[in-house]
Amino acid sequence: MRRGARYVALALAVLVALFPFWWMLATSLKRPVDIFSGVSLVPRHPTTANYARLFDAYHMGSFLVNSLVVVTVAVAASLVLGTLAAYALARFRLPFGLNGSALVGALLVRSLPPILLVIPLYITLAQNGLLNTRLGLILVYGGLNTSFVIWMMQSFFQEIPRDIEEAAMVDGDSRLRALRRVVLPLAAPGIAATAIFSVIATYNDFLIALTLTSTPDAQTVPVGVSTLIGKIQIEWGPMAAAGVIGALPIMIFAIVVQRHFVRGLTLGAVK
Amino acid sequence: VFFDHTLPLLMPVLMVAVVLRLIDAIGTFDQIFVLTRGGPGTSTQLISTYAYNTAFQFTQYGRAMAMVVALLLMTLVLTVVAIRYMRRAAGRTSG
Repeated sequence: MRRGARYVALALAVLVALFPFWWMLATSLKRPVDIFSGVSLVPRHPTTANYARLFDAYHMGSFLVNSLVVVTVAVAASLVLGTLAAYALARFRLPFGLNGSALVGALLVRSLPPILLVIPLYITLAQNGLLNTRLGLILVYGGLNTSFVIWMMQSFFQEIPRDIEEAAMVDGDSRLRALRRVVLPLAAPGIAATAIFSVIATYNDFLIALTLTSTPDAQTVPVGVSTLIGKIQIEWGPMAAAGVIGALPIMIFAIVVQRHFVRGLTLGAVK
Repeated sequence: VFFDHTLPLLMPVLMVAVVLRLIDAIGTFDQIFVLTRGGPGTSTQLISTYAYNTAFQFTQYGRAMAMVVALLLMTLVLTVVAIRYMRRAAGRTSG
């Protein structure tokens, strides 16, 4: 009986959580007339016109490409740089207690309100002709993300015992080789977790992309979607469709990484 | 049992969470900018959206930076509070 009640409660919670997404999906398939003609959970005349309009008239294709390029390059670069830096911070003692201050610095960059960063960034990018370019966004996101990766990975590296990589180095591996063959596989779940957070944060970012881009040449998905809110009318249909399309990359990414997540955990257990 | 034992034990951790969320919330920008742009009038304006308008609509970067530095000072105070609570929480669980 109590189990049954628990399942009912869980089902209710899931329903509440999924309802907005269902509403978005339903709206994206409705005709404009049906959107405004009262409440209906299921579109009465399903149509894909909103999606067609989204890609034809509203540049959704280039928003998607921009987002994917920027997120992939920025996160990949910051993962490589940040992981190496975090490994160094976890394994070597720097003089003057620089380890501690480097970590605090990395955390501080992350906790600054983004509006503070955006104005100097805007001026700097403007002076270097990088406004409204993917490269500009990649540099900014890459830099900001690196501090986050350092902070996350450093604690993961500290949990891995030194002895394992030292054994590999006694057997003739160089430090980098030991890092690649021994430490990184052990840290894989940590890297996966860090990658997920980085990708989601970068993909979702609105303020930085809004400020530093101005045309579909470089605008990312969140900024692009916000341009559908016009001065006179709001394009609900295409906007709901954009929500559905915009959520897809993250969902695919989550499903792909989830497998690594689990595999990394079991790998660690078998060792 | 929950109110007598679990909740008091959770308090330090809860306080850390509350302060961290405050730091987040004080710099909120996305939702307000997309939903109301600080309007109608200035009834939903925050420092973040006000500074954004000052900088990018009226191109007064200096003034905008001054506002944002004030915001930074507020978050710094909260950060100090958060760190203090974190220390206390850590001390209690280990001690």
